[in-house]
Amino acid sequence: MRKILRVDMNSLKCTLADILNEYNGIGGRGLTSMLIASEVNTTCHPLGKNNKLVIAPGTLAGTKSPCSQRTSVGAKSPLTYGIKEANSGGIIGKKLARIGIGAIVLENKPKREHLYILHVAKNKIQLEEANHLKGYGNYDLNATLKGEYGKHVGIISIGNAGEMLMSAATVAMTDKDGIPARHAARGGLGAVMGSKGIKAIIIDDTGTPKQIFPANRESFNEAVKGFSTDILKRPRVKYRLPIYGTAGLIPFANEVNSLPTRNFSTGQFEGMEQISGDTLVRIIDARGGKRGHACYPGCIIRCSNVIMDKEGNHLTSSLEYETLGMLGSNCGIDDIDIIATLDHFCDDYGIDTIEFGGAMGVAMEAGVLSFGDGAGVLGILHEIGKGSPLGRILGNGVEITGKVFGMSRVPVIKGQGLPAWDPRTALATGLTFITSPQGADHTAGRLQGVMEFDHLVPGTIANLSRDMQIRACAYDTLGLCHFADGTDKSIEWLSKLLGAFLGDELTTDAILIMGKKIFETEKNFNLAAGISKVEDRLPEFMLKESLPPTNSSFTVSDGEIEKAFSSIKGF
Amino acid sequence: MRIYVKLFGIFRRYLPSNTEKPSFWLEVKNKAKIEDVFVLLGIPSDHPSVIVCDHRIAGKKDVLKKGAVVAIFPPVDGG
Repeated sequence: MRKILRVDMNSLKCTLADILNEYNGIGGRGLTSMLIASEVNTTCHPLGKNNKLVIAPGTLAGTKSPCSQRTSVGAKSPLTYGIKEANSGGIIGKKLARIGIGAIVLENKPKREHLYILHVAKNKIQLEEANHLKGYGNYDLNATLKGEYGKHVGIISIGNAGEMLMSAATVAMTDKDGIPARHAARGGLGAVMGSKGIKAIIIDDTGTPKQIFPANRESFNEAVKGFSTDILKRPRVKYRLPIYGTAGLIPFANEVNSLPTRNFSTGQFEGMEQISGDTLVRIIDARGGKRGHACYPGCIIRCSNVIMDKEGNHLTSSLEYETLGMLGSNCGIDDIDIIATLDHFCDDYGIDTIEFGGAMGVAMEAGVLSFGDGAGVLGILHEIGKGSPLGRILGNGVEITGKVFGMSRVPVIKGQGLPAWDPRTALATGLTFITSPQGADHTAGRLQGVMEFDHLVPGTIANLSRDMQIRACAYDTLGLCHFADGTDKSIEWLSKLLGAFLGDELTTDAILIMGKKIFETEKNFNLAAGISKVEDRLPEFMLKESLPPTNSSFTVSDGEIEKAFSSIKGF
Repeated sequence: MRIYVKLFGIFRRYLPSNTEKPSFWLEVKNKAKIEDVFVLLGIPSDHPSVIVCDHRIAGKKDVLKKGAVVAIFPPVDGG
C-alpha cells in the first residue's frame, strides 16, 4: 500500500499515512485531480495557503510495464485558475514508487519567505532550510544537490521563474543523465511549488526494492510482453520517434498548414526545413549528440535527444516538436542552435517553452521585437531569469503579455497559451484545446491519426476529441507515456496490466470508466471555480480569420460538439 | 506531366540519383496515381507512410493533376 506524505509548510511537519482505499489503483493524474478536487477550495487563490501541490507517480511506476514511469503534478493553476495536471518523464516516478510514496502533498505556506528542500528517502523525511539556494537555476541546483546527496538521487525542482511565482513556471525533474531536462511544464505549477517555499525535493531510493511486483506476476509479465511487442510494431515507433524524435512532425504540420507561424498568422513557415527533424538529425550526428535517447532507463521507445553545441558541449536535452514550433516558427526563428539555446535556458529558469513561445509571438506582433530576432528572445528570457519587469510580463504567459501590450490576437483558451497546432486545421486537437478542463493543452488528448486534418469522416471529430481526452486521463493516471498508445488493443493491454497489478480481472470498459471519472472530476472542479461552458471557445481572432495559405477554418459544429460531450457530466 | 515531390525523413533515401535536394519535379504519365510515384521512386508499396497532396491528406489511389505537390512522410501522430 503506497503512502501519502503530507508536508505542512506552516508547521514544517511531515506526516506519512496510508492512501485511502478509495484511491486503490489510482495514481498519477487520477490521484492529483481527485485529491485537489476533494481538498482544495475551488475559489482559493492559487498562490495562497489554501492551494495544495500534489506530486504522484503513475499507478504502474516502478513495475516492468513499458513506458510507465511518468509522474504527475497537480494543483489549482495560477495560469488558468482551474484544475491543473501536468506530467513529466524522467527517473522520479520509479524512485517514488520504490520508496513506497503514492503522493507528496505540499500544504499551507511558510511563515516567512524562506526556501526549503525536502529530502525523501526510505527511512528519512526531512525539511531543511535552503536559503543559500535562492536564485539558483535548475542546472546549478542539480549539480549542487547531487554533490551533497549523491549522484544517484532524483531531483524535483523549481528554477528562478518558480521562485518568483511566475505563471509560466515549470516543475523540473531529472532525466536518466541527471539533467533537469524533463518538466511538468504547463499551467504554472512551478509557481505553486514556489509559493509553498520548496526549492527542491530530493528523492533517494537507496536501500529500496529495485522492482515493484504486481499481485499476479504471471499475468502481468504476459501483458508486459504483449504490450511491448505491440508498441514496437507501431509505425511511428519503427520509423519515426527513435530516429527523429517528435521533431519529425515539423514538416508534416507545415504541409497540412497547421504549424503556427508568426503568432498564428499562417500555418506554413518558409524556414521549416531548418527546424525540421531532418536538420536536427544532421546536427546531432555531426556534433556527437544523441538520438534514440531515453528519458528513463529501459524505455523501449526512446524518443528523446541530446543536442551539442558547435564546440561539442552539451547544449540541451531534449529538443521537441512543441519547442521547435512555438519558439521557432511561431516567432519566425529558423535557427536550431538558437532554439536549442532557448530550450536550455527555459529548462534552467524553469519556464514552459510553449507558454513562453506563445507570449513571445504576441510580444513580437506588438513590436517589442521583430519576428525572427532570436538573440532578442534570448535576451528577454534572461530578463525572466533576473525577474525584471519585462521578464515578469513574459514569464507570466500569453494572456498577461497580450493584456500589457494591448493586443487582441492572443492565442489562449482558459488562460493557457495554445500549443503548436493551429486549431483551424488540426480540428480534433483544436477541439481538445477548446473543451479540456486543462485549457489549451495538446497533452490532454492529441494522440492519433490524420483524419482530423481533413475531417475525413464527417461527424466524428467531436467524438474523436472526447475519446482522446478520456484515454489521456487513463494513461496519465497509470503513468503511461501517450506514445505507447495505439489501437483499441492498447486499452485492452492496460486493463490486463492494471488488473494483474491489483489482482483483479478488469475489462477495457473499466479503464475508460476510470478515465471518464477523472475527466468529469476536473470539469466539475472548474465549474465550481467559475469556469463555465462559455470558456470552451477559440480565441476570437481564430473565429474571424481563416488560416492562410489554405484559408482553413474551424468547422466542427456546436451541434456535433454538444452531442459528443452530452454524456460527460459537467458539460 | 510534371508534379512536385517532397520527401521527408526515411523517405529521403529514395531520392532519384540525379537529385540533391529532397524536393524536386518529377515527370509522370497523365492521370498517374500517387502509387505510381512510389513505383517510380522505388519506395516499397507496403512501407508505412502518410501522404499529403496539395495540403490535403491523400491516398495512394488518388489521381494526380498537373503541378500537384505530393509530400511523403514517415507515420505521424503524437507529439
